Amino acid sequence: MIRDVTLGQYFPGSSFLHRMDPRSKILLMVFYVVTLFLGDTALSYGLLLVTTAAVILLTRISLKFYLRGLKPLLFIMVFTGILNMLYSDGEPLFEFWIFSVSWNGIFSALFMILRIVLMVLIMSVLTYTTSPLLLTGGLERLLHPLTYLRVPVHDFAMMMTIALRFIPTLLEETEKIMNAQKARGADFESGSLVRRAKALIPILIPLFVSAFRRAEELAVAMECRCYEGDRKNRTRFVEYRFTWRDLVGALFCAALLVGVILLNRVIVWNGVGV
Amino acid sequence: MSEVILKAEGLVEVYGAGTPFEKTAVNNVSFELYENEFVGVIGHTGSGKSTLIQMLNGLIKPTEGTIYFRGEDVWAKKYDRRMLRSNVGLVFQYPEYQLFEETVEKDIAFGPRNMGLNEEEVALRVEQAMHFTGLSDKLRESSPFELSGGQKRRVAIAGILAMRPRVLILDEPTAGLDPKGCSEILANVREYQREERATVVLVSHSMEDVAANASRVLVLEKGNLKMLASTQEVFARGEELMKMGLNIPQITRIFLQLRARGHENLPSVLSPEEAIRCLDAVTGGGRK
Amino acid sequence: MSVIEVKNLSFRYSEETDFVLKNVSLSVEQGEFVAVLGHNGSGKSTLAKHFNGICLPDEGTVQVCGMSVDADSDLAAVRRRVGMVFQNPDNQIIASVVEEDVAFALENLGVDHDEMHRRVREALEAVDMSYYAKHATYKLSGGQKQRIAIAGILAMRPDVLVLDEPTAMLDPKGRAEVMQVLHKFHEAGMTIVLITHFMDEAAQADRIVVMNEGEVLLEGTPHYVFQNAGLLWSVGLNVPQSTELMFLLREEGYKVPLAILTEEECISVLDDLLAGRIEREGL
Repeated sequence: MIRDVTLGQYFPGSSFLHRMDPRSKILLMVFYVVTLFLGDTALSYGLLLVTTAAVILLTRISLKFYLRGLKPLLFIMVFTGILNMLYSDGEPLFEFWIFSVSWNGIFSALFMILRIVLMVLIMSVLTYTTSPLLLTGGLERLLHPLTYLRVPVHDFAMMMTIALRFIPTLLEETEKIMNAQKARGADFESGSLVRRAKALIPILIPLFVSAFRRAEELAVAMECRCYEGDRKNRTRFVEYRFTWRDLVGALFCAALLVGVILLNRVIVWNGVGV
Repeated sequence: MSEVILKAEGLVEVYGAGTPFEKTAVNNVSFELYENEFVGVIGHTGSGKSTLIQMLNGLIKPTEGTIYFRGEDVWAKKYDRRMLRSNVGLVFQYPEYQLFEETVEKDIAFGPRNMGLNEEEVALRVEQAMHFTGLSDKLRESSPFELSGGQKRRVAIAGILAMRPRVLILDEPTAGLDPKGCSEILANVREYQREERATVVLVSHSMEDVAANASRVLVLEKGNLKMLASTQEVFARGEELMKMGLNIPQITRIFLQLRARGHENLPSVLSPEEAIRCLDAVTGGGRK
Repeated sequence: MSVIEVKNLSFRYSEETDFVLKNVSLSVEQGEFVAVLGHNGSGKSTLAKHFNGICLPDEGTVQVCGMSVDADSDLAAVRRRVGMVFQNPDNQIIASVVEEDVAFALENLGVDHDEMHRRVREALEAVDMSYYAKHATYKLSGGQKQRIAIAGILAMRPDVLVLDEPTAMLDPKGRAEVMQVLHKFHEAGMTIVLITHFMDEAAQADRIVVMNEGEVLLEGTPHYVFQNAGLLWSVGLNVPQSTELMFLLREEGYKVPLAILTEEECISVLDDLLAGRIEREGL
């Protein structure tokens, strides 16, 4: 149940993508998402689909985990898909009540769903192949210029690191507390909405108490390891270096952008390309 | 012979069936628990102990096999499993992490209230549970979060005792407590067993605690039931246990080694007191 | 030479509460393995927290490695010399990946890249966790997590390792793993202070300090301390069953030595007793 959430999870490995610099992975992901929204013909989407599939294969992480990552978003996808289908112009294919459905609508719905799917997949590629520490480290370094504007980038990054580290621990704890309260006859599954919300109190309070205790102990443990915030001479275990891999990645993304722009101009189906 | 209260028949629990992470946590385990007995459960971390005890009170549904409470299949269609959980009380490891109410009294009352008892009965149960766990009446109105570690543990255990379970299962109830705290909690549990004529199942890594309290011991290894016999018999098979990487009480180990050194007339012992009696008998000493 | 020197230390958490430590004096020598034993609430953990400045003395003085630990001292410098490991392994691991966690202190100290990697490698080797360098921390067993926490401290190359009930939340296997690591460090010359309420662990130290109600109750070699089983029992502590048996035999009039610590010692005494080589009073 709770364990099904995979977004933000990291799968250790040593694939091409695992070994890319996190900074370039973050930048290229943003670039990729932009490219994704530029595409608007079946051909350009075909290209995006194929390249995304190729990237996923390159990560050497089982496809199952990617599909599982999509599951929680199913509702949003279907919802936006239907909205897109119903509210687009074009020659009506059939009509009912106040809605009319056109080929144009169906295609734009499909494209919209595809966009979301590909976006989630590519974000999964980033988080699955990049350890949370590298990810936040990469972000911290990319956002470093903001420190001159007095934005506490390091503190935010440290908060992220710790949050990510404690997610599995707290999930496990939630499950334990739930079982312990069930053993005392608590009922989370039946009754009105208000009753169910009330039934959460015996879970939430112990969880908060425990989280605060953990935070306190962790703070002491960090002090014992000489942590003093963002000091000038703080060094990093992971040195970030751009390699040939990052160059290949950048060229790949650039080529993809050019490909999408070119394919957008090829109209294969009347009415589909705009 | 007492009557059977809980019966497990061919219990199997498989996690993540059909995935590469498939793991059989409990494999074809069958046994019976009797009224008013004290059973110790020993085995490594990951031997299936915690899965097994959660099956016994209906928190985990076995993949295969049946559990009978007083002869009734607890996974039968109309069986009330919430009622089962009050009859088979389970004290989890570090139970103090489940405390949530403003006062000790309210927290202990959580279980009995969920059972739908009237306020009078709830108050009585709370009072009794506090008595069993040695909590002073003065603590009633205190916040459970302001108590010492040992007291929190007692409040949590009292929360289960207040449901007046016929079978009381405790998972490492003494973990993290100092020797005095350990022996007090175990004495509380024994008192509950005696006065309520309840069945107790103690899961513990401390072989000394198991030897000193249990009359029967159940040994689990990799999800399989390896032994279920009287405490004497199980610890007399010390070498087998040690091969499984389990320990035996130090005094039992010492006597086993003495036997290996040629003192074959020595029996297997479970406590220093018992050891003294045996030594006296063997040396023909007798008491002064 | 004393690595830790505590003189007349008194401490309380706030002005309204009682003193948790009352006039405690204690010293730990270079290369010594000292166990501080006591029941919950005896003040043993509070004492440990003074060794690296998590708590600062209300009265008296604390000196570590020649530096005094008080409000004016450079606590980062103190903490680099006195490494501290805590009870709950989950709450002292900061990073999601093993080697990155071990490196945390070195990052804070500004150790350069190559040196940092070398020290992380060495520290993981020392606790026998090299294989797990790239693993996720949350999937490890309790004993493994605790060894990672120790490695994270060890990487700072401290002079003293202070462990506050490091095995209290572990199973027997995890406890044995941690103790084995400590013995290895001790043999290599590291000064170790182990706070514990497990008698079998304390018995493995060079010296035991027994705390009760914020005071030092008893101090000496394990042999000496365990001879005082009666006193230990009276303050809620325990002795190993082998020691208890000797105690009971004494009460029965057998002239057995009380200073029994290991199983081997106990077995050889019983061997003598069964062979009629031990006298008995009152017969």
